Amino acid sequence: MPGEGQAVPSSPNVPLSGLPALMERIDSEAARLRDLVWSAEDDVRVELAYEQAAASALRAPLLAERSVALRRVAKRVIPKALVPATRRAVGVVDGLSRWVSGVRRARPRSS
Amino acid sequence: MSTRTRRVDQVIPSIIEHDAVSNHTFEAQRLLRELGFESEIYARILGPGVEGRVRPIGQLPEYASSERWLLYQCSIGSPVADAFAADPGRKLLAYHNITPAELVERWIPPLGEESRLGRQQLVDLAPLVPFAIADSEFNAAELRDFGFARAEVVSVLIESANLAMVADSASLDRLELAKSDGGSDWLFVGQVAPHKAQHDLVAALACYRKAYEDRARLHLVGRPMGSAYLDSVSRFADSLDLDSAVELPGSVPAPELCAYYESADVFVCLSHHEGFCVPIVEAMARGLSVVAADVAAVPGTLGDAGVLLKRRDPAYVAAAVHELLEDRATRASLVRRGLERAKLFSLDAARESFRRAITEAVSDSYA
Repeated sequence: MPGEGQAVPSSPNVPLSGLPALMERIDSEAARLRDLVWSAEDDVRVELAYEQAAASALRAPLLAERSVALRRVAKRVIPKALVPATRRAVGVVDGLSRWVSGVRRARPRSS
Repeated sequence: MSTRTRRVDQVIPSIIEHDAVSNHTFEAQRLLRELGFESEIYARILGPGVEGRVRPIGQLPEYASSERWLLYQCSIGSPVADAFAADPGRKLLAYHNITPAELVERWIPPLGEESRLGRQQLVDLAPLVPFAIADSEFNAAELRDFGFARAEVVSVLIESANLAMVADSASLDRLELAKSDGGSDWLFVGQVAPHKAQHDLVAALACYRKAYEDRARLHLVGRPMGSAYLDSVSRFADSLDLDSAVELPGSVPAPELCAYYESADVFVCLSHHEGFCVPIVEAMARGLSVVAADVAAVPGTLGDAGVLLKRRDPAYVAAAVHELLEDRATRASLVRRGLERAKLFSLDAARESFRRAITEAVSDSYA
């Protein structure tokens, strides 16, 4: 058994040249990108886009849950004759709320 | 080896196909039986595809302490830990790490609770378990922090099929056809989960496409941990106009996975947390160069056979991938090193260290 601290197998004995130089080039290339291609504003823009995507994704299951609960209540309290009109009204409100909040339906992604 | 104890059973919270900890548990059972032990697996949650190979935890029979060792495969908090603690048999524990609650609870609150529970259970189990194994030095150090007296590293028993199988030709053709239009292919394999930070890969790809190759693609292979994070990654890619550049195929069969490894130009891992990271070993074994964030167990797995990133902002990651792909000599050198390093984690090597650990653990000195 390896003792404590010896657990990670040692690196194989394959000569490696160029890694330190590569790391230095990565640093300088990243700095160049920062100056010319990808600014701090890009970071903020992307971060905001992710937060919006996350907020929408987290809201979707909650909305679905509430929708099921509302449907259960509606079944008990709305007379059958009024169901089609109520459905249309809910559709309009749903469409409006989606338009206002900017929520889009998640598109299935093909492989 | 003890002359009395001929039985080592395993208990695990949940078991499912195409999962590293589950595969490890099945391999461990095979090895225990080869060593002459009777060995069964008991789980609380049995996923599809394991019927007949795993029994429900409620059927765990009791044995006198001298007659059985019980091995707990731990990666989350679970009532299985209570059954393990209450069992009169002698105890072993294999630790695959528990993702910190703060990385997952926003997305799946119950998982955050299970994570906290799991870490508390480990503290409670520490005095009961004389010998524990962990699949990385990072995990072994955590076990010692929890109070375990003895924690030894035994690599994950990695399913060799993923490493050696011939790639599915139809998948390979599809991926190569896309490549013929230009642009490099980034690959990450792992559960689509917030702590694996697939969204950071999407952001880095956006920067890379803007700076270097506007046809580069990102393949995020793995089953989703819940739908919300998957949905957010998908929406995020859409919002950056990357919907046709980011592929989320889910979990795929081994031959198709091999096609992804074979056609990719670079494996990029920006996980916030990894207890070992089997896909890094798979990438190295398939001759794919690796760029990975320097966190948790990743440096122990990758060693100096790839590019370890001290920063994870999009510009830095994009620059790292670009420089690695441009520097063919260093890249080839890292790939050769990766091929050698992967052998250190091969199934044969892991089986040998598991055999040694189990033999010592069940010896009279720990009885």
